[in-house]
Amino acid sequence: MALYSLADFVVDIENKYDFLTRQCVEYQYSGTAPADFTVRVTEEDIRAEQNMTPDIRYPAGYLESVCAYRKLCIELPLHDAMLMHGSVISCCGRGIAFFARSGVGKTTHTMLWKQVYGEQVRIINGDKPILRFFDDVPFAYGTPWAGKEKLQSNDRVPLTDICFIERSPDNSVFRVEPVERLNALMQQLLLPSDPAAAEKTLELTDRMLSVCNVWVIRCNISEEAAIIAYGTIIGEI
Amino acid sequence: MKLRYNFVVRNVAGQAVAIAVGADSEQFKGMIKLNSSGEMIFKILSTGDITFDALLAQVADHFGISEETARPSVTAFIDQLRQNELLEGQGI
Repeated sequence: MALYSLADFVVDIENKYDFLTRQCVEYQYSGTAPADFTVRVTEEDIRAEQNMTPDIRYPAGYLESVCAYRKLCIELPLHDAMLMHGSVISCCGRGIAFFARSGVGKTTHTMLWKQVYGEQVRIINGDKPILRFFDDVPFAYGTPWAGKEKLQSNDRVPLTDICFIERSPDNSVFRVEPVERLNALMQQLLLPSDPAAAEKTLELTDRMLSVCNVWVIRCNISEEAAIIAYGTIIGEI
Repeated sequence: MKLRYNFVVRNVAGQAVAIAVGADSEQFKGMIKLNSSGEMIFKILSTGDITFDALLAQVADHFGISEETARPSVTAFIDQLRQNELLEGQGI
């Protein structure tokens, strides 16, 4: 048994391989509170995960980590929280999430903010942050699951802005109604197959969209992209 | 007739959406956007097998309109579900 603090939950992760232990080392919990819930990965889970990609053989430790993450996806909505596929930064007291289709450049844009604004920008998570509500305030938390670049902080920020990144030769940023980017957002949510967890995820998404500003960032990969996005999102609110 | 998959229907950002759940989430990925009558029909169909006439009666009752007024939109929606292979069993 190993306890971890994830999104201020005490989570008991029952793992067998060192990969997950090393991955979560920053999130180890040393307090005395009991676990809020348990994530248990079995050898059968690992085999099933491997069977999903029969052409590529992955190390068992890596597969165990993916399984643990999938189980978190199911468990979190039952505790007013969910995992998302996107990156989140903290800047000037705001929590800004970037979502994009795979390969569009979410990580590149995130790094541009860091490059241009340095210490003003803290990367909370570059790939799979947890969103957790306290009353009506959504907080984005860092997690050990942070993509191949491993951009993450064991920290949280109140989420205020949701940005959809689209590639463009020129840079522009504009605000949209949440419903206008619902399709794009739904593609970046990790919808559990469990009906209760799936319904809760939709409820949390609705609550998130009711309090966050929603933006479209059409951008290239120049520093100007971050400067224009910063100026619009941070400067004009 | 009934829905081929199990769905959860919920309003997100003012838009009613349906997503497949359970084992069916592997068969049907994605989200269906529904208007108000579509949402109502989806919710009725989610409860199990029903005849077209019974569905029509429930929709008409819910919106406080006659069955003849409701019939064109209910028929069109059921046709769409059939075309997208989301329905099974006989209905129309």
